[in-house]
Amino acid sequence: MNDLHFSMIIVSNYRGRNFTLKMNGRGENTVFKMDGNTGKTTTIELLRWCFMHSQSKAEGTFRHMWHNPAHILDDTKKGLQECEITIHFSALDSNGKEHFYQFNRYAKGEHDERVPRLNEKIYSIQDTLEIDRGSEVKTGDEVFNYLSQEFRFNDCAEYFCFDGEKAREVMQIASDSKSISILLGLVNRRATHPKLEEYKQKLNALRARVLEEAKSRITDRALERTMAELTSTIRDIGLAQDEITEIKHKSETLTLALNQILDESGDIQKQITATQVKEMVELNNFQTEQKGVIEKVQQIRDSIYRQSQNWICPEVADEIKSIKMNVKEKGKLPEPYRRDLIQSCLDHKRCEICGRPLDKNSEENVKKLGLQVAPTNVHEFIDSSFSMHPSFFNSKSTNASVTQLIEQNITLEEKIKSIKLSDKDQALIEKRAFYEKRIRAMQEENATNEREIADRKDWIVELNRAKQDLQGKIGALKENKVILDNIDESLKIIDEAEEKIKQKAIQIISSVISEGVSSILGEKFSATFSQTQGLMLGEDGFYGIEKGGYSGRLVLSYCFAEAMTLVGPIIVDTPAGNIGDARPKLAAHLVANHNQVILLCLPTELENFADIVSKKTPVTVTNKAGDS
Amino acid sequence: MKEKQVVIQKRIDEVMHEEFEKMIEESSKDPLIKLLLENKLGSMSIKQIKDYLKAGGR
Repeated sequence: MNDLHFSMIIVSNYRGRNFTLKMNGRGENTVFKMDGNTGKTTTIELLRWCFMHSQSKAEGTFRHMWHNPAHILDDTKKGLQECEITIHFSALDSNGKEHFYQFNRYAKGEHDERVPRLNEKIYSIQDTLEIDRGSEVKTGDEVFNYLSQEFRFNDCAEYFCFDGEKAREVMQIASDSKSISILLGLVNRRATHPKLEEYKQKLNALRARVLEEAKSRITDRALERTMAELTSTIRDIGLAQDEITEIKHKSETLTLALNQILDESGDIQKQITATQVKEMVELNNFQTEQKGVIEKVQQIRDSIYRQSQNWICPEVADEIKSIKMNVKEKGKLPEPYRRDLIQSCLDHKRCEICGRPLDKNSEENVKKLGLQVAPTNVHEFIDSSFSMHPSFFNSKSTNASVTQLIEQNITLEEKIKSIKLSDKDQALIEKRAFYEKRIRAMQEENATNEREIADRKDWIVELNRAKQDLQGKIGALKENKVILDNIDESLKIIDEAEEKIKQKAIQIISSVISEGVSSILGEKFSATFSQTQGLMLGEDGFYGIEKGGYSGRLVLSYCFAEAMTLVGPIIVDTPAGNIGDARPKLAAHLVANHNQVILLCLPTELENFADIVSKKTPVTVTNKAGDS
Repeated sequence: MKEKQVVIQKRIDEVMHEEFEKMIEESSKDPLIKLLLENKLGSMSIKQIKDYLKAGGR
């Protein structure tokens, strides 16, 4: 689909407010003149919510300003409420025929003070997409999937629905060396070629056909089970890959927030360090000393755990051997977990060992078997012989050092407590403690994300091994092995090609953004984007994170957003704020770059800007209790 | 005014398209990718695909 055009956005009962934005016809841009609190930011955020989150994932994912998640219902009303967002747009197919779309998200719920954070209970959210005035209707998650496939809204809604908040975020990522990976992640998403995705889907569909064909010829029950296991293994590989992508996106947002909070915490620490107040200086010294003591304790504990094998004295080796023997002979260690056997019992609703049919209770018990049986490595451990290395672990001296450090910590804690600070200084210290707690929590979450990604990668390797193994066991597949091997080979080639295109995309995006920046700010300005230094603005050939001032970096953000978007139109909230003298050039740039420009402007932004985007009089939107 | 502007999205898409074409040309020796490019994969039976692969993609 080409030449996307938004024609109307209707917001009903969002936080008790109703407003409609009706755009000029196809081929024309639209400027809305909107005062504060008339729905500029809300429009952008509702569009992002609708386009980036499917129906099943919509609840609790709406963001508003700095609130994440944010509520959508009126918090002054009691009882059942309905909120609705309707978006009308059209697009041309490859024959130039116009198709009309009407997206609708309908949410039902009520304000409820007892619900933490959001204070509202959502009973249902329903998405509907009417195509060509009802000739085709999609509902539920099908809507999101359709829009993602046809228009890739999910990949770029944050950029074609643009606002100052997003611009600031881009500026912050661009000026922070720790966030380059986030920028690269965005570029990678932009550089994912839809055709390559389509090819991968077609190859996976071919694999499914081969499996289906083999399945239809299998009569042996054991082989049927192996086939079911193979199908589920292939599905698990796909799920694990999707989960990795999802965790990576989550991680990007978290890293961004973490870097922001690290900067803020660094500022507070600077204020504390710079203070001349005697009590603060003392407190700071004690706390620095305390930090050192805690770190030392942590180091000793880490080393104890690393040497855990050495804690065990050679004398207890015989004891351990006898325990192992006892467990093996009298411990009634259960059989290893047989996932295929359990699955087969559940599939056939019959015990595959004794042939007895399974009633509901037995079925539940079989499902729990996975929790009761012993993994193979437990059996291996019990069977193996136990050997001891000579121990050099000196528990007495380690204990003495830790005890001494703990006593030192208690003394320091008492000294810290005895210091009396002014209210202002006390507030500063509490703020630092608050930030430190949040930083620790965020760092732990980040580490968990990394571990989860690594676990899933390992899991994929194992699943692929199992897949090869299972394929080898199924005779009916052997004759089509040539196809399955070729599918794997072709998928590998496509993955490598995707990687090459991503590398190339960085160079392309760098040069195009640079040209865009020069055309708006003047020839002496340029931009560069690299894997090592991220996105930077340059003046007279010198690049740096401070170059070009605020307005220059804002223009850089615009150009980056334009490089990231995948659809023609752009909808911008407060587009010319802080842009300074570059207003006319930015307006001309937007007109040239987008088949439709929709501006949600403050009255003060219209001058030298709005009339370049559209010759029509700006549409005034006022804030009334009802419709505007 | 319009002619002087750099159309960022269009430029990126053009260059990416060129890169994609180059990649496709390089990979067209792969028999299954060749079928994908010719849009034949969906209409061929498993047997036809197998025979085609056994014949070295001819």
